Amino acid sequence: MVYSLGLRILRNRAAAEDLTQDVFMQLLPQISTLASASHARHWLCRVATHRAIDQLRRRPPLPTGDDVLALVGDTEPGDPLLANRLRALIGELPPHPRAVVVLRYQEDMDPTEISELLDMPLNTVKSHLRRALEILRGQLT
Amino acid sequence: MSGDLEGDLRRALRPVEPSAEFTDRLLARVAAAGRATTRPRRTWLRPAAVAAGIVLAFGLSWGTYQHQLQERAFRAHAELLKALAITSRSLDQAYQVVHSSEVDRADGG
Repeated sequence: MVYSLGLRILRNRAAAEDLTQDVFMQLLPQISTLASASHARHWLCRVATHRAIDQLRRRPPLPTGDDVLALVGDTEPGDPLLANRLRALIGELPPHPRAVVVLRYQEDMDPTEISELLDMPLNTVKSHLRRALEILRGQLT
Repeated sequence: MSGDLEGDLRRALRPVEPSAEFTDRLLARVAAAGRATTRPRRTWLRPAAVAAGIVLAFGLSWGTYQHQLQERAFRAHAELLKALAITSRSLDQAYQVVHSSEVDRADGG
């Protein structure tokens, strides 16, 4: 989950690994304060996403390898070319809309959960989602 | 496009797992950090010595007891982190491991 979020938002394998390592090291001293496994999962998701967004906003985007775009390659169901194209288009979205799309379709979170996780008004989340879907539809047709 | 953009997005954004090599590296790093945080400090020496005397009176070795606690905490952390790193499905189980360890500690081992 943490690695996958990092990879989809940052689009760079090394950066995703660094992020994963940092988030887990940050988790260590916090473990005893987390009330349940679902709290731990929520904490990881929240910290990983915020860190990834901050990183995107602070630094210029890192180069994306072809291997990152085609990460699941031949084994994925559906059209692999379409999947690669979608991943590339998502990677062109600004940081917040990109994170919203990744949380919605990778982590299967509903807009209310995303709103809480990103400390973002619900209407803003819905607006990011609607706009992102419009952009993706427009680019694919 | 299949006409189901949301379905296409879910397929395109299927979660990916890190490489086994990276997971191993991460676990090693976490293990090292876990050892560092569980290492007794010098300021603990006096109370530890007093506690050791008490524990020895009951026929137990304080060193072994401390070592067991550290090992258990380290194993619990490693279990949790491994589960979190590899798959979220094991979260409940991992959480039980950590908490049973902490409950044991709170109960005096």
